[in-house]
Amino acid sequence: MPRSYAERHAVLPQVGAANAMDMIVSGALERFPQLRVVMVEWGFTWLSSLLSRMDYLWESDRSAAPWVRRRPSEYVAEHFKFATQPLDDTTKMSELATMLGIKNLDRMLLFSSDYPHYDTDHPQLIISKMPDALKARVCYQNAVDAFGPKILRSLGQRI
Amino acid sequence: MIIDCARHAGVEKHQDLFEYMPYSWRKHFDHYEWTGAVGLASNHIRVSDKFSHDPIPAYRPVSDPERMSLVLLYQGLTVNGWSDQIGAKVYLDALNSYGEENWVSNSSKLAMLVSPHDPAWSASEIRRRAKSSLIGAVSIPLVTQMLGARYWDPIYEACVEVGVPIVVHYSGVEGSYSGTPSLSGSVHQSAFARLILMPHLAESNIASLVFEGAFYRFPELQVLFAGFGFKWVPSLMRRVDHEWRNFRSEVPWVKEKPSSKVLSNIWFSSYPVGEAMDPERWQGMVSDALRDRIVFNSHAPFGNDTVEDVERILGASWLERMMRNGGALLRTTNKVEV
Repeated sequence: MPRSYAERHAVLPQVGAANAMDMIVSGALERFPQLRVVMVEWGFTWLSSLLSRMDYLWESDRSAAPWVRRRPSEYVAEHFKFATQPLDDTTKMSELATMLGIKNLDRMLLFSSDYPHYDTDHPQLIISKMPDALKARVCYQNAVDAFGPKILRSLGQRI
Repeated sequence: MIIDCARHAGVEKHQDLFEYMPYSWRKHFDHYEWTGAVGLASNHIRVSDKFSHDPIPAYRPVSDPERMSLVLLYQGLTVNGWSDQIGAKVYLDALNSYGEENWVSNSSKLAMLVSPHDPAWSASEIRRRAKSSLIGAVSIPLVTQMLGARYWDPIYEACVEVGVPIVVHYSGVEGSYSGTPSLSGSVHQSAFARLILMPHLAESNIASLVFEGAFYRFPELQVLFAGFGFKWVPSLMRRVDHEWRNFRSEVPWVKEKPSSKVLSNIWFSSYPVGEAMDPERWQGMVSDALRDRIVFNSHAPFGNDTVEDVERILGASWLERMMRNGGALLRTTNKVEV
């Protein structure tokens, strides 16, 4: 049991990661193939290791997960979206590029600020870090994929 | 030189441990539930003897000047799921003694087990056994006490005193039994799900170590998280630094970025290297300093990554560096010449 809030908050993304994994391994997404899930405020950079670990262990022993019919990372790409907040701080552009280079992330990442919480990410900060190829997808296109065009009604014809 | 910082060894039958126990404890353990346990497939709940398997191949250490292995006693790690904490100490003591006699050579050292339930006894055992050159590290089974807690200080103090690192490895029963650490989310139904989540145990305990200031209390302490892989480390390092900046006042004893202690006091290992495919996709996140903290481990005889596997997936420069790092880690023990 973590003693400080800092420690607890540092490992909080594990809860999101564990539930995403469990929805796949338990076969929930085979039972409900139309189900879509948006994971908010769990971050996303842990996907780099989780996806490859799930795929590797599944390919090593498919009988261990009888409800999983294809690579676990394929379920993630098809069913999940992840919000940007909290966006990890990086020290190098190459590190940022690698962080955003997670397979299929361009179709999974949604903008989120978490405003007005203490650790809100300023919209300009997030947008400035997104490469041009990702900006439109992160700012609205992936949100339309997740929630449908109804979320754009307040914007009228502007998009 | 091949330096394998975590391979496993186990007895082929529990009766082999009897001669390392007092007579009264031998009688205590001499019943079918125990003597049949090695050969019965389990998850520790034997619903039927039909679920049996052959014991894993016995480890026979060789003397090879071009090889050095740190040997983990995987069977003893499962005491983190035992309710009988006194019996567990007897078992660990017997396993350590058996290991010293059978699994140590010029090319192998033992990661001796300590009791997670009795740090004072464990510290005295470290001081007693580590006087010999047979011990290369100390292995702590994970329980609900996080590794940053002062509960573990007697063990850390003894490790620093005798100059051996800690090795942390899951037993496999975490998330299944009370007494073991739970896994994130909630109870996970399958062994497959639990195996996927094992790196979270390493993440949580690293967060505990750095935020509780363990490396300020014991600056020389070195901790290897073996068998958890390493791809998750960059994300965790960014996260602990981020939280430290937000909540620095909450943990005033943490004077530097937590990631700095990760890079000076914590080590990671290669197994399972199969999850690190396509390094061009992710290695841009692994700093030069972090690469100096990753060692090779085969995990043999389970999965058994080879040096050829590492070279094929990561390349020769990674492999060479892992061997150099392994030498640096084991040299910290003052017990291993590499």
